[in-house]
Amino acid sequence: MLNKELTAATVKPAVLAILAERESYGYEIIKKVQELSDDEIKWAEGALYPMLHRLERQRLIKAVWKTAENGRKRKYYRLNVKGKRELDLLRDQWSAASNLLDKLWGPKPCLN
Amino acid sequence: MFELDNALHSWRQPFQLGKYYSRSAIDELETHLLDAYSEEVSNGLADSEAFKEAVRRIGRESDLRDEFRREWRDKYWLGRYVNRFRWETNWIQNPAGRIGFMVLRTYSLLVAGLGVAGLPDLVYFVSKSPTNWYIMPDTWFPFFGRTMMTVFALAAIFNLMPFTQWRGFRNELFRLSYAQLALCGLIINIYFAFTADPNGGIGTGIVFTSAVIVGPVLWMAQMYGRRRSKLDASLAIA
Repeated sequence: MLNKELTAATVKPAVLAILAERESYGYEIIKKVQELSDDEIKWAEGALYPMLHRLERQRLIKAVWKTAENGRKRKYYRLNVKGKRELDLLRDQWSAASNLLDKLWGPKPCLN
Repeated sequence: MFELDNALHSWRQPFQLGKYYSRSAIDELETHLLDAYSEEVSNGLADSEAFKEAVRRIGRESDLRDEFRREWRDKYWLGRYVNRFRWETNWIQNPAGRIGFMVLRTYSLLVAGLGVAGLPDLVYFVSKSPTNWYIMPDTWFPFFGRTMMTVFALAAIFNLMPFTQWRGFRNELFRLSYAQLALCGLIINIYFAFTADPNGGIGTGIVFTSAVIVGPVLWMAQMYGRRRSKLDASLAIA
């Protein structure tokens, strides 16, 4: 299970990456994260919404209310052009961090 | 017997009384709660248990307050103002009363601004003519000074958001008295702003002074009251 700080740090890139695939809503985003992380990452479900609102205010994502198939009204989010740029930036930064850790923690060279 | 509508109503109430949640945000949380509830029911839980589990997953108002408060603080002052306005009107159940309060509050804010704006004029008049200060001198200052100060005062009031929802008869009476006084102040302010009548007379001078002095005093009193009502609200939620 990821610790609190690391979990918080993954929220923004994960949300943007999920929305880059297709538009989605809060519940579905959380389910997707749980599924992809094999339940290793668990977000406080209600706390996702202030983050989504913040991203919306920063114009990284756009929200639209729609009526779902079951008749329930849902707020769908989708990525903006600015959000795509932000996602690219975050991807580069996380890749750099990941590469570094891979090299540090990767298999030790055989000395024989 | 479990009633979903009643349970939802009870769950929504603390959010509606909390000032950090827009109506849209509460609706969104509710949709999430219903999705979680449906999932728990399909997993085989009884209705009431499924609802409890869904609430546990999404969190109660007290669990989410800090996150939403942070988001609320980041908003522009106008967004915060609109949110606060909604929060205050939510305490009033009667729709007609709610509209009345909204009108009254917008109006009170405007008049409080004018009252504060009149202060420099009053100081100016008294300093120029200590015995006959209530007869407004026909100079450029009353109009220009009041107009400029109104802009600043309104900006300050909207940012500080001093008006709050007080509960109880005494406070309603207090607000109503203030509104009446404010009405007099508004009329007088507009009258002098546009006519700069040098023969205003002692009657209008007294009303003008009341608006100028009592307005800001009540405003400060309400700021104090806001702190108290915040405490009341948090106790009610707890």
